[in-house]
Amino acid sequence: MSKSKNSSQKSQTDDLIGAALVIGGGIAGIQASLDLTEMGFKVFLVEKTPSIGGRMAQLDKTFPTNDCSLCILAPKMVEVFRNPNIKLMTYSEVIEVSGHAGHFFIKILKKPRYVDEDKCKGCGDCASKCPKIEAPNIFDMNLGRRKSIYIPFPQAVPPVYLIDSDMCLFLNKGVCRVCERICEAQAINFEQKPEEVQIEVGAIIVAIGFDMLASKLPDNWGYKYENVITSLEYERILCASGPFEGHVLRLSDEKEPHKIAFIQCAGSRDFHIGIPYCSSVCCMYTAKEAIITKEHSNSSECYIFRHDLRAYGKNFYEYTQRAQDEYGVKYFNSKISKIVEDPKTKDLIIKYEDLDDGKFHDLRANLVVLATPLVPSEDSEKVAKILGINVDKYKFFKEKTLYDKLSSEQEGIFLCGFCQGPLDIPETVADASGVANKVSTLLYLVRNTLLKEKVVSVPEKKINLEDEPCIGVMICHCGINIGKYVDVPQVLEYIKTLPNVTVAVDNLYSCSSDSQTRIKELIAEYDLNRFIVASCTPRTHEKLFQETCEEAGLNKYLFEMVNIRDQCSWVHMEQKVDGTKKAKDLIEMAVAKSRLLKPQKESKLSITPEALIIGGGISGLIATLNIAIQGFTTHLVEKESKLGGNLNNLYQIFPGYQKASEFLEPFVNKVKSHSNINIYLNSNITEIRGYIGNYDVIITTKGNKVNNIKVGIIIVATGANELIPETIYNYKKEKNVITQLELEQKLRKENIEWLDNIKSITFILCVNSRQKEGITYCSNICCTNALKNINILKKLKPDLALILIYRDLQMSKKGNEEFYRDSRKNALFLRYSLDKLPIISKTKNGKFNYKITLFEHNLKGEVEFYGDLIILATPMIAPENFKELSKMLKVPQDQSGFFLEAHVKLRPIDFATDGVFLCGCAHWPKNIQESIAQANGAAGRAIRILSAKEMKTSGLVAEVIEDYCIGCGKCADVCPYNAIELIEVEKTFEDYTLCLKKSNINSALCKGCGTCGVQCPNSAIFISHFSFKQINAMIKAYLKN
Amino acid sequence: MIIKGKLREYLNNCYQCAMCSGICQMGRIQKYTPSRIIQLIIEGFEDRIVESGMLWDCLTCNSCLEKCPYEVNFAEIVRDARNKMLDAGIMPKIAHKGFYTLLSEIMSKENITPEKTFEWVPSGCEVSEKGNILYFVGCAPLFSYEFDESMNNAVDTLKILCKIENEPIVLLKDEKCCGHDLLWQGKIEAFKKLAIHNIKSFERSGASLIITSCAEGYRTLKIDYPSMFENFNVKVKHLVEYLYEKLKENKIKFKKEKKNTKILKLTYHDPCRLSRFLPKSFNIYEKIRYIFKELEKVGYVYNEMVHNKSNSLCCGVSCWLNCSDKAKALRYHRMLEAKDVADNLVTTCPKCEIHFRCLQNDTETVQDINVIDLSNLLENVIEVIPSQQNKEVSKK
Repeated sequence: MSKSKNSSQKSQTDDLIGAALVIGGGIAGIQASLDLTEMGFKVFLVEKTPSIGGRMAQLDKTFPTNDCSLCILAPKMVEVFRNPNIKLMTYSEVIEVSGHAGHFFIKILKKPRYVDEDKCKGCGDCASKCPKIEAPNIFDMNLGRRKSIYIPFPQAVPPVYLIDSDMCLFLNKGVCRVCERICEAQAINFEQKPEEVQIEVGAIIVAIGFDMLASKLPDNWGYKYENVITSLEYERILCASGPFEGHVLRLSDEKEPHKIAFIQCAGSRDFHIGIPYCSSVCCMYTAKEAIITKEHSNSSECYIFRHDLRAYGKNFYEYTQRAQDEYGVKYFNSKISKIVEDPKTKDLIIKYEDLDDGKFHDLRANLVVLATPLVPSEDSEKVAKILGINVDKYKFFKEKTLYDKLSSEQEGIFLCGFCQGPLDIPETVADASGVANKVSTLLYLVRNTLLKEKVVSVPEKKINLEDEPCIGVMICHCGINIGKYVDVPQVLEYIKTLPNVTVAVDNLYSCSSDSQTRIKELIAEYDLNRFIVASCTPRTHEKLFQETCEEAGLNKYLFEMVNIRDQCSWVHMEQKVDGTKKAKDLIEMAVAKSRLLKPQKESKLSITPEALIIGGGISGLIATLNIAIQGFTTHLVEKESKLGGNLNNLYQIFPGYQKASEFLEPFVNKVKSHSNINIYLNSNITEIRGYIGNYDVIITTKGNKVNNIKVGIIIVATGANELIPETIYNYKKEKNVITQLELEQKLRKENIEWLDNIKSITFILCVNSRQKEGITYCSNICCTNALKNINILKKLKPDLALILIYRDLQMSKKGNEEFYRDSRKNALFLRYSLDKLPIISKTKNGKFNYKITLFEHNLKGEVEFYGDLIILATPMIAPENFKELSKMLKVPQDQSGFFLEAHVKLRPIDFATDGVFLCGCAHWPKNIQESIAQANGAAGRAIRILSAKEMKTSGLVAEVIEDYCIGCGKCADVCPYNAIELIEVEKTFEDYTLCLKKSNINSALCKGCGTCGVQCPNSAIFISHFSFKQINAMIKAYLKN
Repeated sequence: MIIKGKLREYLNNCYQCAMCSGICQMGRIQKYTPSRIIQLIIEGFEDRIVESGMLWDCLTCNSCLEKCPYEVNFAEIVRDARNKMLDAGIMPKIAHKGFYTLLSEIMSKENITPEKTFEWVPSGCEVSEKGNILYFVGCAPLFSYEFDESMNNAVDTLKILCKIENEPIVLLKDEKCCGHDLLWQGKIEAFKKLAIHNIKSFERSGASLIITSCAEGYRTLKIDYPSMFENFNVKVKHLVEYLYEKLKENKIKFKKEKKNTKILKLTYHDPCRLSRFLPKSFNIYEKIRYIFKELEKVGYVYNEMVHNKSNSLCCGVSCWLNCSDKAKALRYHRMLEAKDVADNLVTTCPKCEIHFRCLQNDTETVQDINVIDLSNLLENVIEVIPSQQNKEVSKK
């Protein structure tokens, strides 16, 4: 990348561009793009493949909720597609970048699809007639086949077909052109050429994801055998839309495998083949795949070979335990030696030594799933070169510093997702919000300068509910996608006969732009006050038609959509008559509902542009700084007398060995000196009232000084504590049995004379964690912390004997495996299991203080050794005071007491309650790097709201009929968004005045989910646009026939 | 404590995944688990391991290193531990009454200088004491009193070299044993003395290229000498590399087989020292397969055994240790693999060759496969392309 020479003498703002380029349309790129537009920036989203969605779209389910992966991702993909401020450029690649942070010049190459993106309606007629069936289906990991004109997968975004130029008969041999003849939309264009597009942006986000290495693996992993597949291939096999339509079959004979073996670390953690890092996510997705397999067929047997179990994430460890305890998945503690095929049956023989019993075994499996290494995308070096950024030794993009993984070394270019290093979906999503925040911090001066806001010129029509409904209906053929299976003219004639249907028309593609003009004309010509489109799914198209209605002056809630494609033509392809009848029924029901539709108002809500951050640890400091820098007043509340949180107790930090105090100092100074920041030390929150945009908070400082503040958002960054063990290992009595934090405090002393008399130190990991009862989770960070301390101690006193007793070593993430390998030389590593805990006894007048007795699997017996100091690595726990805060904020805690996010996968730093966000160890134990990234993310999520000034509330909300409400409070109990509270209402009757409890729904917080309406025992709550009357009318309309 | 210092650091690298347990070739005939041995040593049970003699059993075949995710070099650990075990008086059982290594040890004495006769040099081969290209003959001729064919390797290699080169080939009168077997038996001091002597002789000869036809000699000269003696930097090539380059440069080609002769079905046994004991970049196992590809063009058939290249099975013996029924079992397995696909088992290691032949004396089922060194196979087949023609070819 060349630096632009004319960086000019213009003022700073003039040179900044209020837009960002996002490279890569996986979940990372999608989330970053959506957040950026909400923060007021235009986005160019460039994706190399024909559809956005990335790897997450290929997964079958996601753990721990076992949600369908694409089902939770697709709405976000559609949101990207529908967002007027995201310019989506699929099948495109960035080829040139110049300029500098704030103002980059980008050249993008758009590859020819040979299908006009504006004309193609995604109906699929072309593919059904395309004669060539040869290309392996890339989306299905090459397991299935596809046509040479294709859409990568049914939910692809954009929903536009393309021609594989290597496979197409016409492009290669000059014959065929069947698609061109069949396409009613005339979208096929064989003349398309590669096209260069130039854009200017202020910042660049790189999110190009990862590949899965398989074919290059050494022979012993057996990938060459038919029935040995990678886990991503297995995801496709599990998936209902995969090559076997969700039947778990193996490739050799397409029979159901009975015994399935999952092999962990099949190439990862392997210095020899050049993947020296832990791919970090395999232990978890394998547990998930095993569980899903058991759900497919309970009689199948699942075996997992693993060496260390690395469940790196919130409640992940428990999920792996559930796989064993509830689903009967069998885990073996071994890295296998090799896999060989039985040539007759095509079964696989796995050769391994079980480390628990020391015996050699052969396990025969019908199918083997390899957790092969996840490696940087093959493009990473090329992209790095174009952008002028560096890759690290593993070919992941190199981060700016160990503690700022979201920035590249080049200013204005940011990194997000797996292309920077191994990580899972929640962390990717949090990081995506984090990079959006980074962009916002760079470009906040030009926020909202390039956004398109829709201006509707036609004033909204007044609708009197007493007026006779005049309904317009448009029925779509969708090329032949609907028309071939549903007799549209017949449906149309029937619909025309229904009362209140003023006009009904059919057309080829209702979504085309001429159809939008047609809808507007119909509304004007017939003075319509309701409109219905019967076509495809509202998921992708409802918003388009609603906007069209608004442009014609019709309130968008007077529009109704019927899905006769998925519901009729797709599922009743073989039953044309019944499908047609169903289409009639569905539209008639919509007409019945439509008669009762009311216009709904979307009110506007002002936002106080101030933020409250609870907790002054590293997460809180980072969040505070990021919000303040962007010009918002920020209040930081810390219960202690000093900022810095847990870092105040640490000696050196992982992984850079900086002194914690020196690391912390610049952040604290910046916060202290920033004019937008108000710091409240020794303070607690004593009251919180209000809702998103408008919180009233009372902060009480020691000495009962009270501050009332008004804020728009709240970030919870309260951190977590180290568990103080009560009974175990005689901790309470023995002064030389201490926790890791106590060791850190010893190390913080300048004087290390205390080490003089110590010859041997023993670290015990997983103390009081990963148990069957009590604390069941893995605290994730103790392993790296212990190893860091071992290295520090060895440096301080080289002749010190160090012993580390562990169960599994948690060394996920990019550099940690190598760190572990380097650390091994400094200590003796011994494994123990939960059922045979080490025993510590005091020695009598010996050379050492303690004797440690441990069961050694290798010897099948006990070994004894001696130590002077015992360090217990106890887990981080949620402090008691979380309860109080959780009540005040109306946000939930999980079973371990940590704060519970809105969705563990896709909303990891939001609470279900709008306007409250979460970061750092209050969410889950995490290291400094991750805390900082997450704090950036939380700041980003908050900036979306703070920068908006005002918010539109949805018209689709629950409403209380006050007279019917009996004040039972059941609705408030179930509301997932905390939008309902009980208020006291004074009611005056003839003789009495009563104070009655009534449900009160805050329409700013309500999402219209309807849970309260179902719960209400007295039908006092209805959901606007889905009222009982409207639903009843639909049912009646159906029953009439 | 025998194992200490750097060696202990190597041991500490092992993270106990037990992958090696099923990879170990010894593991096919007796329980042998390198990772468990390592863990016991670092836990303080070294005496138990050392006294059990377990470390003498290792084949030092490097199969475990080939797959080890943390690159724990067990064979080197064993080699260095053996050195210390000898000091401690824990002795191995060496085959052939220890005669061959004794010979090497005698040779290592500074005051002994061998005076080799070149009676074996075939007529028509021009040799000299000084020159550019040196053929390091190695110990194979010394074995000829016990093993009939072990002279052939040297004879045919020299014939090939003389046929191709237009200059006399250097043979050293005072060539000492390369020391490979001493090194892997742990006799490191004696090894060093041999190396020092040989390096000096190489220098005196003025040679700029050393060629060996022995896998062990190659690894020793190519890797172990330079790692111990920085000043040793003469280019070393195995006959395989040498011939590969000549083929690529169009200096030689292979003669067509006569029509009537039976078509020879070949397979190749990769010696560990020419595969797993070399950095991947050396790629010798691909180079020799190029030679076989060229042979196929002139009428030979080449088939691969199930285990090949870096996965090749072990011949069962290294540095005259471990000769026993167990070793024979390993070898038997290997020869059956060869028999399945070929009638000629080609190798490039004289030791492998000797041991395969030895089994043929015992076991009838493997007698019908012909064990042959690469040099013996190629001596008659190589044809030198005259330099005039050579130029034309390269122009084309």
